[in-house]
Amino acid sequence: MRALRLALADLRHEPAFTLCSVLALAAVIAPLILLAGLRAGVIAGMAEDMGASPRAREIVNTTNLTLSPDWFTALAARPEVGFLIPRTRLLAATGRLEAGASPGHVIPVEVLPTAPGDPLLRGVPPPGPGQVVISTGAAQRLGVGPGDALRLRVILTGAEDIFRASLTVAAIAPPSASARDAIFAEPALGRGIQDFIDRRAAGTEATTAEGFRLYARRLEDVPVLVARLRAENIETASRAEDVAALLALDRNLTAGVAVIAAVGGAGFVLGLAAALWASVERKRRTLALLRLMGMRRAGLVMLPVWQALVFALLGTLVAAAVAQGAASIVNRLALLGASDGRDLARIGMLEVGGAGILSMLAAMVAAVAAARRAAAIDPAEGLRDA
Amino acid sequence: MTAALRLRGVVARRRSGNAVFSLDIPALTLPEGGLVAVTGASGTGKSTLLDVAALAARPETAAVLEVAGTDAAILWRRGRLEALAALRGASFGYVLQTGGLIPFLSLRDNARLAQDFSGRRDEARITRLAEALEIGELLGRLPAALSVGQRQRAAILRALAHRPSVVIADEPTASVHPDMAETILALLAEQAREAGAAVLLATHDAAAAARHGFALAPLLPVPGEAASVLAEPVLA
Repeated sequence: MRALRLALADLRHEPAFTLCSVLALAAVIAPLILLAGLRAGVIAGMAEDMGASPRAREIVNTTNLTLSPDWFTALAARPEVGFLIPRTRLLAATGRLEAGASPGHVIPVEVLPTAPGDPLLRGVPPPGPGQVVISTGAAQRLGVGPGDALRLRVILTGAEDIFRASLTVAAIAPPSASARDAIFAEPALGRGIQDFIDRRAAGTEATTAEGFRLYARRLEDVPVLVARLRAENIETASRAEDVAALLALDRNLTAGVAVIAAVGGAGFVLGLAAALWASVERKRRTLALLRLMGMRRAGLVMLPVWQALVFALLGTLVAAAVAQGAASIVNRLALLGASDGRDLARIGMLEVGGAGILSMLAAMVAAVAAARRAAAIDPAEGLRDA
Repeated sequence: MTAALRLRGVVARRRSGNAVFSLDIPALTLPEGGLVAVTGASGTGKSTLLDVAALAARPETAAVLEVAGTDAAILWRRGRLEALAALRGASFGYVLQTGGLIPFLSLRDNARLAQDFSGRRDEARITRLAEALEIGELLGRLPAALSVGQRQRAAILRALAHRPSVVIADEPTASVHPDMAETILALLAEQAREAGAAVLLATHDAAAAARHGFALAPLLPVPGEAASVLAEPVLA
């Protein structure tokens, strides 16, 4: 700590040199922080566009399949899977829905299976037996709300037989849950409709499913799951390509920032190394005096190291302030195209903290030459008069 | 009684280019509180002698090199540079031609630093010594804010603050006015006596040193050779 105290006293004694060194470092660090902030803003903006709706993580089968319960158990166990539920044949589970209070006004709805944890129904309690969560559009069209009674009918063309179900509205789904009119119910309802259409007798329900509702846990899991399903010859529809493009853009931007940071960092290290080396050279006599007075070599070595760390720390703080200012200008002026109220440049703890840690590491590298110079100083030089 | 500083059979060499200068110190002893002035024209090896005596440069050979009872010769032979640094910090104070103060520390912090390196902190002693040297008002100043004379007084303060056994003084009056030189030498001798510290002074002004009670040890050039021999100190 004696070395730190002496290093700080020396810096205070040379405010101009200290200020110049700090500003020189800040000039290198600030554009890098801003660049990292722009990368973060661009990626976050696109991810928000995609990720705001859980539909971005949705994977649906495009052909009818035959899937065993074991298949579902195996897939659900994968870490990439956020939500998985068996579903009936495509377009099989549709019916005609009317409000119990106003019969006659009928709309066609899709019956979708749901279970606790359904990402489309976040914040909505799962429906129990005889209950449904109704899509926003269908609820408006029928003029129903939670607690209201519904009647669902499925009529086969050219047949006398009619499938009927009396249901209660448990809740209204978030608007993003379904663009089409739909009701979310326990899987038994959809399966019942399909069995009715197939004229399958009660008690002989099929144990296999024809499809699934699948949601990846994270955006980047979507391409992984799609590739996996394709390997099983299961064709799917998803936004996997958009996601892959976003991930590729993220990688490329990160690599770009890293390359620019490496070039800037090399300048940072060389510039700081030269300044520190010159400073040790300028203070040879003083350092020799300290050695003569009994300072350990390790203490002498630490002087330029501490000073480098102080420069890096102050430089990062100044740079963070400058970059933040520049970012707010970029965001206010929407310099790089309209941003519909979203921040294009986002400088967070990650950007500032990362810049701080990297510049401290670079500062220690930069201090090596000066430290070696300081270590070699001869105490006898302290006795000589300059 | 252990001597503050004892050298016997010490040879120091200084190389500059192809030329080698050789200094022979058959015997030099500073008793506790003893004052010795090494005199000689420039080029007779005063700096080389101080380097070796101050443990700042390695002697070529040393039968005895002892500081306050500690064998420094063996530390040099074993390359124990950190132990030598610690011994310098504990046992030596330095007054150099232009002070030799640390420029970015106040006078008080310069004195504190010497106490730090020796592990002997004593604020009261700094204040008392500064009063005696008539620089009590200046303790908060940086060395650059002082006159040359004040700076030499501050150097004496720094040299004695940690009660060293030996003060090494290299031409401490060379850059001050002759009237001031008398005062500086008087203060150095007086305060060293008070502190019980021995002083090894290098000077070209033997008469002034003798006036202040220093025993004189002249450096004698060896005719025809790039070499000198240190004579035994004699009280004038």
